[in-house]
Amino acid sequence: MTGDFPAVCLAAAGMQTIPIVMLACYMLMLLVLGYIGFRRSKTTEEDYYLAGRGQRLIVTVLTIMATMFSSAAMLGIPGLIYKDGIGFLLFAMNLPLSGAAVYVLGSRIWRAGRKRGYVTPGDMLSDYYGGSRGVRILAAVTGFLYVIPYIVMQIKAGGHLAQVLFPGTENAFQIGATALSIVTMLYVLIGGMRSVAWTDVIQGSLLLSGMLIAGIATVTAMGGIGGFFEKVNTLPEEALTLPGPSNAWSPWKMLTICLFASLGTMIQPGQWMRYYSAHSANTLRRSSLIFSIVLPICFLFGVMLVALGGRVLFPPDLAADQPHELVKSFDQILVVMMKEHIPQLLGALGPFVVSLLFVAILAASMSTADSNLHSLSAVLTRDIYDRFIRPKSSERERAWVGRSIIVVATFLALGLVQFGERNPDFEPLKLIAEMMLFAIAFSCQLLPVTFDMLFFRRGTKAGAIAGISAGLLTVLAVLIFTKIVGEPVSGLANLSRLLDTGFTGCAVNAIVFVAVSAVTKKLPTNHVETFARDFESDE
Amino acid sequence: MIGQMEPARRKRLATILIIVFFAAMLMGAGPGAFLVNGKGPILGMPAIYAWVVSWFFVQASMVVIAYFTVWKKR
Repeated sequence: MTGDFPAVCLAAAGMQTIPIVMLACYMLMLLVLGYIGFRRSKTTEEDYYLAGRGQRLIVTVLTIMATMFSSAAMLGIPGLIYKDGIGFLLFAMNLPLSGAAVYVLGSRIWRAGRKRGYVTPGDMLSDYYGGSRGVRILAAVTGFLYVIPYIVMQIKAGGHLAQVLFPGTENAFQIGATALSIVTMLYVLIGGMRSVAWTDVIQGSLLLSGMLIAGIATVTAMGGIGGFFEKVNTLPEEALTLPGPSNAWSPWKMLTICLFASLGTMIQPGQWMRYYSAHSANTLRRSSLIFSIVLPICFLFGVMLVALGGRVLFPPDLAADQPHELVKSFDQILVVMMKEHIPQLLGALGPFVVSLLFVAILAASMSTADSNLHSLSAVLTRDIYDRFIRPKSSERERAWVGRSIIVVATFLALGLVQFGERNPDFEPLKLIAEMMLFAIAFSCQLLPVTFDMLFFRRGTKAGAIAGISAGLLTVLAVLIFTKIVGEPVSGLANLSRLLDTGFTGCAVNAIVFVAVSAVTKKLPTNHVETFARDFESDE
Repeated sequence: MIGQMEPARRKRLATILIIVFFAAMLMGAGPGAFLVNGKGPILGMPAIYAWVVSWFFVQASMVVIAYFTVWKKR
C-alpha cells in the first residue's frame, strides 16, 4: 500500500484497458437487450409497463432482487460499516422480512391487479378507497419522493466508480455519472418493462455473484477465515460494538429500520408493479423463498466482510470524519479493496475478476435506476397526466408522455448529483446509504393503507388521505430540520438518532389514519367484501 | 404436506412461525443484541456478527417452513 495506490495497482495488474473493454461490452449488451425488448413488445400501455403480466420465475425473482439491491448494497452499506463499524450489520436482518413480503403482500396485490387490470399502486389504492383522487395523488407523490433520491444514488455510484477506475482523468465523476444515466435512460425508453426485466436478469446475476466473490476474495487475501477474523478482532472496541463510533446505530434504531425499511422498500412503485407483472401467485411464492435465503447470504458473507476488512486495512480518520487517505470517499471502500486484493490473489485472472466486480457495481446501480425510472413514468402518466391533465388522451399519447417523463427524471437526477458534487457539504446528498434510508422513509408512508387494504379493511377514504399526508409531512420535517437547516432542532435530531425516520412517520401516519377513520364515513360493505374476495381468490 | 393440513392447524402453525420470526428479529437486530454487545469473540468471530448470522438462520428457517406448509400452492 503505497501513496500512489490505486494507480500503481492498476498498472501492475495490467488493468488499464480490461475494465474499459468489459464495461463497454456490458453497456452495449444492455442496449441490445433494450432493442430486443422493443422488437418483442406490443404497443399497449399494459405491455410497456407490465410486460404483458407474464413474467416467469427466473425473471421475476432476479428483477425483484436486482431492484431491491442497488448501489447502496455494493457501495453505500459497506461505506457505512467502514465508517461506523459493525452496528449497521444488523441491517441484514431486514432481508428475510423483505423476502417474505414478496409472497405475503405480493400475491394479494397480484390477484387483485390481474382481475381488475391495475398498473400502478395508485390504481389499486385509489380504487379500494372509493375511487379517491386524493389517495391517488398522494400515492404518486410518495412514489416520486422515493424514486428521485433512489435514482440520484445510482447515478452518484456511477461517478464514484469512474473516479476510482480512472484516477488521473479530469471530470471522471461527471463522465461516469453521465454515461450511467444515458445508457439506462435509453434502454428503459425503448423497451419498457420487458427490457428492464431482461437486463435485470443479467444485472441481478452479476450483482449476486459479485457480492459473494468480493467477500471470498477479501477473506482469502486476509489469511483465510481464521486470519480474517483475527485481524477484524483487533479493531478498536467501538468499531465492533453498538452504537458505533458516531453513536448512530442503536439496536432500537436498527430494529425500526429492519421492520419498516424492509416493508417500505417492498411496496415502492417499482416492486409493486413487479407483483402485477408476475405470471402467477406461485411465481411470487417461489421468488419469496429464493429472495429470503439468497440475498442475506450474499450480504452477510459477501459485502459485509469486505467492509470490515476495509476498516482493518484502511482505517478511517474518524476524528476528522474522513476516510483513509487512499480512499477518496467512505462509499468507495469496496472498490478500493477489490483493486488492492484481487489482482494479488488471482494473478493473471485478477484484472478480469476485478473488471467483473466493477461491472457488478454498475449492474447494481443500473438495475435499480432503470426500475425506478420506469415505475416513475407509469405513476406520473397514469396517476397524474391521465387522470387530471388530459383524461381523454390516447394510449399513444400517454406512451410518449411516459417516455418524456423518463428523460426529464434522468436529467433532473443527474442535475442533483452534479449539485451535490459542487456542494460537498450539502447533507442530503452526502452518503448513499443515508439517502437510501430517507427515500425508504417516504415509501413507508403507504404501509398503513396497504396493510389496511390487504388485511384489515377498516379504514376510510378520509382516514387514508389524512394518514398519508401526516406521515409524509413528518418525514419531510425530520429531513428538513436534521439535514438541510444548519441548526438542527435538537428534539428531532435526537428522535432521528433514536428511531428510524420511516418508523416515526409511519407511527404518526397510523395514529392519524385510525383516528380519522373512526369518525368518518365507512366504505360500503359490498365494496370491501368484493375486494376481500379478490385478494384471496384462487388463480 | 400442502393441501393436507386442516385450516385450524395451518393457522396455528402460521401464528407460531410469525412469532418466532419476529422474536428472531427482536433478538438479532433489536435490543437482544445488547446481550452480546461488548462481549469477546464467539467462535473467533466478533460477537455481534456471530449473533446476527445465527438469528438470520432462525428467520430463514421460518420462511422455509412457511413455504412448505402455510403458503398455499394453488
